Amino acid sequence: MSAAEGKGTGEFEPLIVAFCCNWCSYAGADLAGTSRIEYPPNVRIIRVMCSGRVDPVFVLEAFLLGADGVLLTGCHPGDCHYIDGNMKAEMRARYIRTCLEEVGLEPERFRLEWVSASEGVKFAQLIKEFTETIKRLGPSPLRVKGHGEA
Amino acid sequence: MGKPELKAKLRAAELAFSGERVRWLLGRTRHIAEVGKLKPVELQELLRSMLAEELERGLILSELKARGPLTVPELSEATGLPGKRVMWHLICMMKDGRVAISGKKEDYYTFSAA
Repeated sequence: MSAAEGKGTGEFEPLIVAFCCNWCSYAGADLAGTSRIEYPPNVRIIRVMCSGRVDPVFVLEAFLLGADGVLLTGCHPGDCHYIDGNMKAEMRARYIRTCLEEVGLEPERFRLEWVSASEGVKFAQLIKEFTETIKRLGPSPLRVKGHGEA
Repeated sequence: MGKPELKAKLRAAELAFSGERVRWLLGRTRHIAEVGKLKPVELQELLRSMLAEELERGLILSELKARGPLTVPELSEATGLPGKRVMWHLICMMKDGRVAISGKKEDYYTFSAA
């Protein structure tokens, strides 16, 4: 995020990385956009073919590179294009949360949610809620100076 | 916790998640839960203890990769882990072929990443 985006407000603007699956969540995010539903500009979306593609290393790397929060979104259980990729993601999410606790980062900085292609409103709401959560938690200790700072 | 320490721990976590041990359990967790061999609480405890161990091993490996052959007291000082625990991790990692004895420094053996 450019420093300009947080300028003038004096408020901490979180940098959130969202991994969205191609078939449901990314389409949900697209629907939110085409429906002109407003949501905070703090999120950077990375499209992946399936939430099951997201290795825990990707999430840890995002935190290492200064992300304040990481969001993983996938198809609802039973709707996965690859049958059970989202169930694999759910298992990995459990590992990631445990790992974050062990490392000393708040596990709330990572969140897994199911968003379908028709849930543009839910996607926007989720981004709003998550941004608020991260604002409450404050900047990540690994935050890179200049990212979204006022 | 300082920024360098947190970074080192996250790097160690990356090493843990790239390693065979965590990946194997990650792949088998659903099966273990489905067949009911372990209760959810037991599975969670197993997961937590294994991740904690692998994080410590990741820290030791990072030190060995960054600073070359090191003795147990040196590793203990660098990682903040007790010497006995460092020794135990080194023996386990030697069994896995991740570290090897590379020489001697005074009365101590030096270890390096394999």
